[in-house]
Amino acid sequence: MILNSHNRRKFFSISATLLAAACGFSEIALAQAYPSKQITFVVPFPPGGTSDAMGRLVAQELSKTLGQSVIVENRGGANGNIGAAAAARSKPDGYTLVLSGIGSHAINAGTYKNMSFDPVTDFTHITSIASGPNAIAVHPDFLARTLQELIDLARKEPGKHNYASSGTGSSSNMAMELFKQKAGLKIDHISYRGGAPAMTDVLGGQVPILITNADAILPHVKSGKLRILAVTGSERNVLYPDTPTIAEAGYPDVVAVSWTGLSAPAGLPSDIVKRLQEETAKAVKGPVRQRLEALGLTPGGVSSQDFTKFVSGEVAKWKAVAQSAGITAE
Amino acid sequence: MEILGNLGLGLVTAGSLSNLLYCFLGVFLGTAIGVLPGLGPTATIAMLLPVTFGLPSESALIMLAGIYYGAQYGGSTTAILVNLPGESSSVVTALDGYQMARQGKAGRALATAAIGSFFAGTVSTILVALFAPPLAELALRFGPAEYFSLMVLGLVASIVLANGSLLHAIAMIVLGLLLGMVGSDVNSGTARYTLGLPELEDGIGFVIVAMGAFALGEIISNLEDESGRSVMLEKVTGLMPTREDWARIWAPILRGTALGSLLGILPGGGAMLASFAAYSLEKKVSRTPEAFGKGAIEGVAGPESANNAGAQTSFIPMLTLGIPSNPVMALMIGAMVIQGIQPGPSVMSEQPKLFWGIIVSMWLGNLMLLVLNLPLIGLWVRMIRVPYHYLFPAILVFCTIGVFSLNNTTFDVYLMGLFGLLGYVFRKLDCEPAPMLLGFILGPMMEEYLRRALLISKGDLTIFIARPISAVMLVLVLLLLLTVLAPTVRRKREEAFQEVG
Repeated sequence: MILNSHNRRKFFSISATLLAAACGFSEIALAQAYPSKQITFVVPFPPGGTSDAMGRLVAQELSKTLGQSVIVENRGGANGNIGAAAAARSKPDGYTLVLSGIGSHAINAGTYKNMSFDPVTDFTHITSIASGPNAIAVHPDFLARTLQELIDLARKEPGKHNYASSGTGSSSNMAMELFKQKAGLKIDHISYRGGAPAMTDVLGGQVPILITNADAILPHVKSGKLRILAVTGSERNVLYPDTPTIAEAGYPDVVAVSWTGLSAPAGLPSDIVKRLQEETAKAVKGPVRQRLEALGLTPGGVSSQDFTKFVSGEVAKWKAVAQSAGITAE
Repeated sequence: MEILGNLGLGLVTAGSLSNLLYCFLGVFLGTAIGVLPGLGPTATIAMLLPVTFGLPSESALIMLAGIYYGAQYGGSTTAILVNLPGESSSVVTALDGYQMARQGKAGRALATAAIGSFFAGTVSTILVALFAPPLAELALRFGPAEYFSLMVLGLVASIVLANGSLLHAIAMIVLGLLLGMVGSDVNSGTARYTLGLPELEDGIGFVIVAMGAFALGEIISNLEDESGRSVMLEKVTGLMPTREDWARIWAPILRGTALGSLLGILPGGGAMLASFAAYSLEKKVSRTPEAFGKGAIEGVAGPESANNAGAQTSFIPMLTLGIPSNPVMALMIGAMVIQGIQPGPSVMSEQPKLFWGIIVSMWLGNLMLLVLNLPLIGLWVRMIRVPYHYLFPAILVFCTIGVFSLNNTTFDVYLMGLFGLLGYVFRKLDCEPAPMLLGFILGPMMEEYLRRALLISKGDLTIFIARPISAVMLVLVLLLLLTVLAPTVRRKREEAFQEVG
């Protein structure tokens, strides 16, 4: 049985190849009928994280609307640099896409000395997928009840308090450093490998202050095991309508959101960019929207020009923060 | 009596036909990925997550949980049969399990692993049901200082892992610690020993080292040594534990279950220590420690029970506090959120059907695993009797696919090849790879906790003795060092240890 079906499949694939050759299946024909084969969607992280989940959600929808399977290929390592570099080197034919994000396409350019790619010029940035803020929260026994109280306390006792983040050079670490710079505070950084262990230590009272993805702390805020002080978005978050932004507290420049987007190697033909932008925008504003909002994320779907401009702005913004905070990787 | 009502509710939920089916699907998939090297439960669950969106929340979580503890069963199979530990927890199973297989006792080793796992799974499920909330509070008392002291204790205890020379064992542990340093530093982000290769920035993958040093090293030396190739053809003596085996394994199973349950609660890497700790304990209390590493059935029973108990109790912090103790638990939390359930202390009161359904399903799943695995033993044992010139290419292919699938990169495959060569050299030099792997696992965690504790205390070293749990563990370290380094007091200490255990 197994041999039989195997042989049959082989027969079909051989005849398909012959057919393709007979019809003169050229590259031009391929472009006209985009997509005519399976699409590889590089997710530059190992399976399991939020970015991976974003990638899979979008891949699932694109498979349906494009009529070709979009296969997620996880190529993790070096904060997203390995997967992004591999994608940058591939052909701009629309069959290799990459999940771009705040790490691989913005912060890393400021923290890594030797980047093998340029996050702006080596890519065609197609559209944004989703973005979400970080949140600053404290252990319930900690003295500060509001962001202003935290600022006052940190000014009174500089260097005495610690904050936990999901890692050196992570978006939460960078957001806190940006806030510290603008507010002139000295709070020491305790780095963790990921948001979960950082949260665990703040819940256990080992470290008083936490900055991490806003959605991750929701159950603990509800049960009173953590007290949320502020979110880092430009507007309040749907999950915490009563929690102010840092901007509201008087620091309008302190806006930091973790974002993901859809990108491809530089030089992607404009008709393919248009098609992918449209389908992705439809997906994130349609079937995927509810899932994103459950995580407190804002759906993207902006135009390719706007997204490219946004990415350049992010690169510049985080480069400045990394330099003045002295954060480097490598 | 409330507990009976709760368990009844759980039984109704988990016992429904569709949920039984999802539970079976989960444990079956788990066993399958456990047997295949490389592909771990994290990647499998991540890929299956979108499929669970459409399922009721109980069914989704019952299935995902099944994959996780099913993989713990499956992982020991390849460790015993072909010296290929696919997960960190099955490294120590390979030590004596594989030796048993070489002596024609593969069936008994596999059966011991399955029975031990089932017993441990049953006991720890009851523990979860009865004491989940207070145990979870204990988990939160462990901060960086406590974890550091726990890791030191684990490392010192691991010296007894070695069978041969103490010097060789210490050298291998240090080598493991050094290999664990490779990658970017968690505090500064500085790349260490990466030779400028971005592929090394996240460190060397555990699976790569384990497959290389164990499986590949074994293949190379088997190919070199003609007699090594024929050992697998040794007559298989029985598939089930004998009467004498039972007398030897019941106590290790009990001890392993207790140790594993306790360590599994700790979210910061406790479950990883469970099987190593159980092995060290068995060797320490054994009257014939010299038999360990040469096919001692206790060396399979203890760690296998510990590892499964730890897998079950690691659900405690997740279910009761919403704290993920490992990437799999983080994914389970993700699955809950997608279902509109906020994980945390409220799950128990607001979603009793889900909470108790999962707990009862864990026991049902363990029963299914036992029923699934015992008949498979005959098949597995026949498989290793395949001539070696067919078997070893198959193992190589599976290792290569498994390692490649981690990050879709050939670099990892070459790296595994390098560790294969190293594994062969170690064998020649009479150095065992197990202490190296332990150092490799514990080293980075120990360093991380040490530096984090000191950062929090602003450099004050007394934090390790000022905190009582940490202090107790450091005292244990001292005692253990005394028993290892002073052979004259050894006998006495062992007796004392036995009375306590």
